[in-house]
Amino acid sequence: MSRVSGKAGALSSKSSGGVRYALIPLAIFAVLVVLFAFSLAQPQQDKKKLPSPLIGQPAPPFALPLLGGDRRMGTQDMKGQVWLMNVWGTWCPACAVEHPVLNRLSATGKVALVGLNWKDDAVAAQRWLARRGDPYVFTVVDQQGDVAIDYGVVAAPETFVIDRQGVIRHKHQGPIDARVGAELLELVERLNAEAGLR
Amino acid sequence: MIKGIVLWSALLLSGQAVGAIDPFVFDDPRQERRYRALIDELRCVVCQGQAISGSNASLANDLRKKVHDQIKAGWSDDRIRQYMVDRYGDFVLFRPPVQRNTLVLWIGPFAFFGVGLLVWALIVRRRRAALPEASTLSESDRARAKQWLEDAE
Repeated sequence: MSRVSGKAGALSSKSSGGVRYALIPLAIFAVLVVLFAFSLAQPQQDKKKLPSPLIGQPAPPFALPLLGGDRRMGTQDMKGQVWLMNVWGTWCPACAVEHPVLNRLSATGKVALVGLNWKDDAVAAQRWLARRGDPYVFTVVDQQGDVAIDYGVVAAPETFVIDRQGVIRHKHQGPIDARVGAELLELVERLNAEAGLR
Repeated sequence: MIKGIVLWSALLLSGQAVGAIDPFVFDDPRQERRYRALIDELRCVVCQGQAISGSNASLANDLRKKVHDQIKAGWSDDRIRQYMVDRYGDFVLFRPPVQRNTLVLWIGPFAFFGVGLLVWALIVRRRRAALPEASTLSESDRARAKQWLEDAE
């Protein structure tokens, strides 16, 4: 009877029961504070990264015109090897940030990079590669953005790792920094070894 | 009279067409209605808070065009949704499908409401039990109380 005894009792009661009840909202509030603090502390970029349903799926096939050429190249040309598809455009500032890392990756001779020039100006793209260096085995032009949609590209730059069986094994959203570059290199080496076992 | 109605509806419809963002042409109004419904429920994955209908992002433009082309090609709404989900994941749907990993999302609000209702019922019951018996007032007490109240006026 003396545990919550009416409004006045619950508010002024010094009994342990009343205090315990008063603590419940406080406890809920504390839990919420902790949850919100965690979600706030998370870097903004991580929240933008979405899981791709394409990982573990066969890479959508494409054959697109080469940048600065009329021959078409695509997935067929990379069959049987581990390769990286890098989505970029000259309109994308983050692509300029990751470009030196791509150059270094390419210079190791261990990674085959294919460029997907996404909704870009062909002349500007060629100038970009001439000035910054060309890390790609070849670059194809996705003027309409159809291939980018097939790969579920959200925002450039994005990089897909495709294995010898033509399956997408990994996707990186955002610019590749030195650390990510090293991780990708490691992954490519692992996939190469894995394929060698078969 | 009928002529007037036809003219009026033609005028209204044309206004709607002019108001559209995209210069897309459909075979019939039903297709256009489906298009509008679909672009309202597909999320712009770049801008995230918006549907592709309300976004000017380049990708949203491309996806609107895709939906248009697919409707014209005779795809069903479900097939178009599946096409988007296959590429961008469930996140692309503003209305998430009911499946194991979205169960909390769908049932959560009702569960919270249920728990709240339960707590409320418990409190009400406790308080009612804590109230003094209703019949403790005797007839003579009641008469005295009435007397006091009348005196006070």
